[in-house]
Amino acid sequence: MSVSLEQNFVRQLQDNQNIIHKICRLYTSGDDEHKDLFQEITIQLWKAFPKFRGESKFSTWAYRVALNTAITLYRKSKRSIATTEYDTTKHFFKAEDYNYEEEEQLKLLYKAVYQLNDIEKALVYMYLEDKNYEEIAETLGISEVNARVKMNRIKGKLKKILNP
Amino acid sequence: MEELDLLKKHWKKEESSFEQVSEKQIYKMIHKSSSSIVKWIFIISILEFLLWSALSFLMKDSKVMKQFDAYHVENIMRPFMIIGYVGLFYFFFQFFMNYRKITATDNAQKLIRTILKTRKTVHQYVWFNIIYAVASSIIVLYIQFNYDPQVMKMIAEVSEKGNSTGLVYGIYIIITLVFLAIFVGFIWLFYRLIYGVLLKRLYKNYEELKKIDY
Repeated sequence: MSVSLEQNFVRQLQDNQNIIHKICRLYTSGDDEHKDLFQEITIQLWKAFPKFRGESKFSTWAYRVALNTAITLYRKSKRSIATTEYDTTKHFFKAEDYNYEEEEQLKLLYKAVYQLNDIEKALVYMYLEDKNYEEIAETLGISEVNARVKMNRIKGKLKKILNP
Repeated sequence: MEELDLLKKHWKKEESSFEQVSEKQIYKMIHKSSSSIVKWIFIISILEFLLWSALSFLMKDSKVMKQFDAYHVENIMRPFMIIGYVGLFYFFFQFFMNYRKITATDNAQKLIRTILKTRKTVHQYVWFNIIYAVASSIIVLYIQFNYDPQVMKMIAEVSEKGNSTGLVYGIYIIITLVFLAIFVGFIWLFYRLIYGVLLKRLYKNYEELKKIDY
């Protein structure tokens, strides 16, 4: 049986879904919001999928579309103040490597990142994903120098938020 | 250690902590559009209902309607209007039920069935409107021949002169047929445009859904 466009999409998305989860992790601050953004990104990816020619890897294409969705589309809807916070114990540590101090620090870090603006979050995401500056610049449509400058500013900003 | 690097250290670990979304759930997400199409069909049917009601309300005091009132043909008009409203209500209800079913379901098989049912309902609805239009023209024609003093006078004059009255009837019927054809054509076009576009999208969704084998 031939695989339809849709089946192809669903399978690839399912295999690469952590890309979207990670983006949701940075852009949202609660489980419900996470699910909403996940769905929004999925719909946008599906709409854009017919234009995906396979010139790049699915994962590369997907994270770019997903970031764009998070930056542009999600910004339109008013984000309510999250009432449900991530259960950090569930998200960060297995029982054996539970480290209270580090966990607290991470929690604060995620909170600090959440305070950044949408473009800055995108930069943080790509930084965490080990993308090089060339790719970061290309994805955001800025120069490499500009990307570096922005990244340094973000680091400074995070320091300021964490150590006021 | 720099703040972001601490985050980076744990970033990879995060991967295993996300609740994984299944293929079925992804299908459901991208087929949300089905429910929004059916929702539109429902909304348009409400608007249509309001439009027809408003029109008949406004027409109530018009010259033509007053003339009809003068003929005292309520016993013909009233049941006919009731049939019209009952029909509208029936379809209105059907559209609503389809909408409810389609938003409530997360099962592709059921979704397919509801899509097919919605298509059927829309087709029936269009046919209902066309048949209703034809029937109302026939009734109006009948009333005019039997109650309109002007028409009756004209027919009487023609027959007095010894000419065949068939010609008058013929001309009337032909004029009505022409108007009817234009009217039905217009209705048909109208529904094709509004519902046709929606149904086409719904059908595309259906074709994709059919390919899923669970």
